[in-house]
Amino acid sequence: MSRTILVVEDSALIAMAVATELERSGHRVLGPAVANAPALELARKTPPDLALVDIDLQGGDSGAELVRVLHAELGVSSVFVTGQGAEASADIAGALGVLAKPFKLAALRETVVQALAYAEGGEIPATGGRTRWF
Amino acid sequence: MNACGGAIAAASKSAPWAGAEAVAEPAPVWLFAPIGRDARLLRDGLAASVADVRIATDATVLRRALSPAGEIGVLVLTQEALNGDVLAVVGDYLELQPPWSELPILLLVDAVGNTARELGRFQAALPRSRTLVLQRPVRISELESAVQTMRRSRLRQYAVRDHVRRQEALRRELNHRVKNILTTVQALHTLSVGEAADLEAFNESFEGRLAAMGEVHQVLYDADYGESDLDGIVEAIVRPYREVGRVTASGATVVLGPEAAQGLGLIVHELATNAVKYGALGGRGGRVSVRWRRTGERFSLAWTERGGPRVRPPERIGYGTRFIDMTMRGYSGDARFDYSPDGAKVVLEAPLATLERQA
Repeated sequence: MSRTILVVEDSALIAMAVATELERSGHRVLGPAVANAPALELARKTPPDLALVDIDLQGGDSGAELVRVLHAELGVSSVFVTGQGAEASADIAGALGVLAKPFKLAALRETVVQALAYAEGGEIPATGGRTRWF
Repeated sequence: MNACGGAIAAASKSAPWAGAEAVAEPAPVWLFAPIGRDARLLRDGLAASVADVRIATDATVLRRALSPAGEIGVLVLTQEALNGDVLAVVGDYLELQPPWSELPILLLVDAVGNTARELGRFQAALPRSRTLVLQRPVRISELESAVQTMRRSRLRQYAVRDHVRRQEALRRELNHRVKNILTTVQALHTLSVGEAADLEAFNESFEGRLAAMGEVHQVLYDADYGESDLDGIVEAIVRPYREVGRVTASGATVVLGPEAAQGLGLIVHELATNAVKYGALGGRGGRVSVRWRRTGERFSLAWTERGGPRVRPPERIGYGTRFIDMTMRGYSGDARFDYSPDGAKVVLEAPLATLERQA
């Protein structure tokens, strides 16, 4: 089922690969945005069903802060996609889990499917592979 | 009996080395001397050579001083302080202290004949302690010398601690960067596979992009992953064509942050690769001009091809165009592609502040 997914990632290559894969899976991609302000601008215009958020963003922006605001303001849930798994905390409201870089595209696809189900009231998926759920 | 004995009054308060070799480490010297005026006399005796001397009035205060969050230079105890509570507090600290730490303890005691039992108890309770025992009465210069020597040793320990912390921070940063590089290479692989018609085409594009990443990395590494000049980045990518006079590149000084250096380096690589495949660098006689400038707060770069084969607009948006567009949008800028028949022209624009940003 096609959903709208916000991609927030400051590496153009990684963002492109993620966006291409999501589009190939039939989703609509918002972004990619490289920092908090443009990400919020996109999300306010078209609230996404899910956000995939890196932690270390352009200009020193914190993806953790973005995840909080997305949830508080728009009720959007997020999955961190990051190499800094230790900084992705279950205490951050709106954070469903973390997909650790580097990851296979199959893991990205699976994570998105599980995250959408989880965000819509499903049970916590089983942690495994590169994804840790909160 | 007081802590220092009668020697205090007679001793010089300004030993020749005091002050001249003052230890910079702010960690305080803590005193615990529970009898009479001992603590104040000791503090006054050390005041000339140690800026921060603090007095513990009981075992609870001492435990706070020895908490993991606190820093302590030297612990000075008198024989009368060696009760069970104090030994437990110090013992806990010694037990839990990190590998770089060896808390220096100065113990002031009476003549050995009178203190053998206390010393035995102390050594049994604190077998891991690094303790200097001085017999009272102690001359103030002797006390100052002992404390300063121990502080210098402690200062060295703190230097080791800071070194270990820096190494740990570097290790974490390296781990983060390696993961990012691996993910970037993986993305490059995925995208190159997606656009390649066959294995040979994939090999060519993937190897070229990986090599370009390597060239940019070298420039960034030479700049200690700090500021790097756009001229150096462009030069690293177009050097083979510049040397044979096919590419001219020049512009104002633009000092890029590491992220923008990598982005613009890979963009120039895509433009050069495209020019070799379809444009002015493919056949003979074609030329490319790369010019960039600063206009107020804005940056612009023009890639202009002349003398190549007749240009036709591409039939679909490929990896290169998409990458360039996405990267420039990430810098709050844009990329304009002009496929005039006599030569392609690409103009990149972005705010200078975004490109020059370090983080």
